[in-house]
Amino acid sequence: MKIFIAAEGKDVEANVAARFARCDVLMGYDTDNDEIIEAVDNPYKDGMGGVGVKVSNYIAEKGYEAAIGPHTGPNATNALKEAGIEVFTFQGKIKDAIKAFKEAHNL
Amino acid sequence: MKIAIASGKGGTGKTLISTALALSNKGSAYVDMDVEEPNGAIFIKPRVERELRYTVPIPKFDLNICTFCGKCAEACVYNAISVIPQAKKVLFFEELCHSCGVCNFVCPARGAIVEVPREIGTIKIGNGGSFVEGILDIGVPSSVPLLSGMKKYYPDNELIFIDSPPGTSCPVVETVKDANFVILVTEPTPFGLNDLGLALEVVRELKKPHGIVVNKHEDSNTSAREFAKEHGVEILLEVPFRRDIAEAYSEGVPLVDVDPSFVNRFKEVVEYIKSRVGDYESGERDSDT
Repeated sequence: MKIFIAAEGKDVEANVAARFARCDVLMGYDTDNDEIIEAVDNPYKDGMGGVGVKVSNYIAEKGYEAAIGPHTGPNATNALKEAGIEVFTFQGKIKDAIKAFKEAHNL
Repeated sequence: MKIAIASGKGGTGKTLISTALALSNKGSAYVDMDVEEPNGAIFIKPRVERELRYTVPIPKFDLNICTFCGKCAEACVYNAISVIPQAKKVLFFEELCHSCGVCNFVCPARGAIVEVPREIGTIKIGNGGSFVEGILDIGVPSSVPLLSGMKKYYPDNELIFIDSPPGTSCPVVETVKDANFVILVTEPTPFGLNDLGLALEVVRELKKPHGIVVNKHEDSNTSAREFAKEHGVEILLEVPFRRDIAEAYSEGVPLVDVDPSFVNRFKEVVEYIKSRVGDYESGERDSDT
């Protein structure tokens, strides 16, 4: 499964970001092959407004099926829900988040 | 001539001063643009003749026509639209929309987007047009569209006092940018003077001639005078910190009714401003503007 992670850094040793849409790094992860698909500096990080919507659109366009991050804001929550993208709330290291996600989904 | 009364910090006395100015200068008009908390009417006691609901256009999506191409969401700089082709859904975030109309403009599917009105506030007009008040609806996040809409109803009077919102952000800029002169009302407290400094930066950036009115002045406290000297800005008037003024204000009695000697002082302030604006507009800019 391809999942999105709101990340603080570009590898799995980094932490899950403290803010969802305004995270430092947009990370994509493939749970089947256990590899990072992408890790890009978040271009929307310092946007004026509607960043939750913007990042949710990004996640949906990229075809991610779930998103790992901190609690999402109201706009992102709504947009992700309507797009059918599950939000998996986690705080701590990304590698632990992936482990917890896989366990919760029997992957 | 439009004179805006602004402050930076809230509660320094913008409404006290602007209503006193309006009541002292016969034939003038009063516009309450503090739309999140308009209370000048308590002192002006206008006869309200018209009340209209103000609307802004927002998009409405016809999902039978929409092709879910996502061009609208891509074009929206405010990120107010989310298009989900898989689910054949368009999410619209009303509170992010700035009514710019670009979604409709870029939409290739004719009729998929129509603009519908969204009510955001009320404009009240009274005293033969020389009283205007805006009231923002509860829950509307930005007052700027209502403020710009109110400008169509600016009175024809030669002298207009504009009671501005507090702060130093977009609503203040929107209010102050049309003014010929800005009165900054402050109180001689650390908070008052700190925010006065921020407000000064705004009016200087906008290149507006300006001066200070110090409210709640006490002779023992010279901090506002020192601030004025340090920042090269003029004090137009000092209103003393007096219990009778505060008590009357809490009962809706304007300053000029408590102490009619203020009438002439507020008239003098306006005369002085007129001379300064004249100088300014003829190019003799003051050192501080």
